[in-house]
Amino acid sequence: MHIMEGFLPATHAVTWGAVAVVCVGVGLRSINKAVKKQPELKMLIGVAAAFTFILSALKLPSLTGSSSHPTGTGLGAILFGPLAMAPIAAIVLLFQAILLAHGGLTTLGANIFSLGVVGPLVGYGTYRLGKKLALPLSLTVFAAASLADLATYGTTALQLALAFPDPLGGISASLFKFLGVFAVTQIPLALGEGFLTVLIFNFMQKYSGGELAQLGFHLTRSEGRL
Amino acid sequence: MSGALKNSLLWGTVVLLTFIPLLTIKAPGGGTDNQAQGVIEKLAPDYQPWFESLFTPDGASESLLFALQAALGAGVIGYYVGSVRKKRAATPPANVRNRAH
Repeated sequence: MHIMEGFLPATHAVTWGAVAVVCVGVGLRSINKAVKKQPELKMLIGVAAAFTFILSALKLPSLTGSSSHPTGTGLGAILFGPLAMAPIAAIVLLFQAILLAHGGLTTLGANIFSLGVVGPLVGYGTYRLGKKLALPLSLTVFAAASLADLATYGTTALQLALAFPDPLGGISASLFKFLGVFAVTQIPLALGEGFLTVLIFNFMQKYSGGELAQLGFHLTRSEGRL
Repeated sequence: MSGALKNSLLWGTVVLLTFIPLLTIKAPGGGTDNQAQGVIEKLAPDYQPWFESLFTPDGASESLLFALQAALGAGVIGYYVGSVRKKRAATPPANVRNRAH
């Protein structure tokens, strides 16, 4: 999902940058508000951030033979809502852009938007839907994390298609080509990310049940166990 | 199914998803980020990247920095796991507490 340094035309880079600044600002405010109200949540925010740090550092081989990164943003989105992940994604991406030549400063805005905004939004939406349909909590967490991962890569493909439309087939043909690169490779990784998120969420349920209850997870006895 | 068994099955699946490709794929196709760059070069052969990374680590330092990033995250999660487990161990289970009264 890292669009390489310099690989978005300047107008696109500036537009995504502006969108990202707004999202990170709103996200910081939402984190501040949550921590002021309930300081004991700091630890869980740290865990959500750490989870994204680990998963986005792993470049994993996929069943297709290519390798790619998981995202780790689904967990934080489920716990703290979709806004909280934008600043966390910004920190991770800045680290990778400056020290790892992975992504870039000119593409930082676009990458924050896919990793820190769209992925978490989809993850949070999936979580709410699963709750509404009264699906088992593990299944809901799994689906939310996996779809957040896939949505991030879908967004990257769309951003690239908008910047580089196919000379013959336009944006849609170009989107198809970029999705061809990302989508299939990402599916096994997204599933793995879903399973890992369920594992850490189960642990949090067992040991941080009080904090989760403050966040609105009213766990029944059957949900408290996996 | 017990929680522990389910957790072990989940760990097993994650490990398999990671190691099957490592063992079976003989000619790795490279990273998707680089492949996307290849698609851009085909779609817009005249496009010139207008900014370069300020610093590009060599292969070994790149692995080191990625490992550092993962280690930072793992350290925080390890701290969390240790601290909540310790807290749990210090609080006797509810039924024991009730009996004491």
